[in-house]
Amino acid sequence: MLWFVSPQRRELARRIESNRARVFRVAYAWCHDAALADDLTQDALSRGLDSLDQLRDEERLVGWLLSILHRCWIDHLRGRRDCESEEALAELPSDEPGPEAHAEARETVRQVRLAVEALPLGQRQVITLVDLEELSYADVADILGIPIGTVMSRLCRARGALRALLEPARGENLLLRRVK
Amino acid sequence: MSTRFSEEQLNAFVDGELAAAEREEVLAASSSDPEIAQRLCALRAGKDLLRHAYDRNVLPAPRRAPRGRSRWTHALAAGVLLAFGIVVGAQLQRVPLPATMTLSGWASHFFVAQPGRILVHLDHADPEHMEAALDLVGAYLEKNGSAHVEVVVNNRGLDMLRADRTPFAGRIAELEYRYDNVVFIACERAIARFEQEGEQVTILPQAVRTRNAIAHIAERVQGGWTYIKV
Repeated sequence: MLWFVSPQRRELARRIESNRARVFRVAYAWCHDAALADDLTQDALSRGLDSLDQLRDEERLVGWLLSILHRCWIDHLRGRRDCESEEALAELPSDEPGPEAHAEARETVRQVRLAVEALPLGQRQVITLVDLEELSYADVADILGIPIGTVMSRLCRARGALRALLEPARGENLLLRRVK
Repeated sequence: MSTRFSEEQLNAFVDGELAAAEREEVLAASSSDPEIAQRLCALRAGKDLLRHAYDRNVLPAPRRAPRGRSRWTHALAAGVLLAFGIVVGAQLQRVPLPATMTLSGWASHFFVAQPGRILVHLDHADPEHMEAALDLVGAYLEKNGSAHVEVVVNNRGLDMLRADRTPFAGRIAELEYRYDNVVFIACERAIARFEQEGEQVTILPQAVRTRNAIAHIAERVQGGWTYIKV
């Protein structure tokens, strides 16, 4: 069927591949399981390659890949009943950070990730897309297929919950201390 | 306590999502009102913390090596093999199922019951039925807050999600606010039809759209959702 691969298509394939680390980070922030994040990333990039024809605007490649990742994630949750509930997901082991992070930083990282794990899925997705990927509310709404108002209310609740979870554990001035 | 700005407004401010005029207002207020300044600080610090927790340096690296060959090279190879097979003869081995989906896996995919997923369908404009649908959704989510619930409306059932017609805008907003996994879905075909008939259709801000409600329902039922027609 595809006897001829245009240079433009090859370039897009290359750009898709170059976003692997980025897609992986979001996948990891959603599922907190390195192996699963790998699979989801692989799945999303493959699906992206297979459906390049559906990419309308090349400038929006990353948003498009993330919306595919979102579908892969939903498919995964549907396909695996044992992973279906938020509680089950919250129990997935979180990976230890790399050796380059020293002990105190590691503790902060662990606590933040634990707090993120405790968020309902929808909130977790919204806050990671806004804060990690720095996407606009409109883009996040697009990627997850939800209204902008829902993006805002989930974000609000997610941040409120994170604050409540992190402050007592880390001392009440932690959040302020970190501000430059 | 300062309530001049909602939490959502302050969030939008730190995310750079406010329009210029509103941004100026928050900025001005934050320089004179220490409480607002402090709230903004906390929000920014939270963003920093999250970014730090998923910084590339503390994240496990993606393990799988990039593919050496692209998908279409495989497609090409498969095409060549297929052509070869046809030439060689008919009694070749069966084409194996894709490794990711065995036959039993495929079958159980369709028959597995998923009680945590219900779809409520409404296709007429009886307010009593609308109320019954919302009662059902509310009661179900109260028991099982992590369940996934979709309320799909088409035909005259669309009225329930029309801002200009629904008697239940408040209840819908409240459900949507309280539960992350409840989705109100309006059929685009129904919207288009009423618009063609000259009606001005405004959908509630909490609702999303689907191109074709029936196709959507069919997909859900096939995916193991429990279907309830009200």
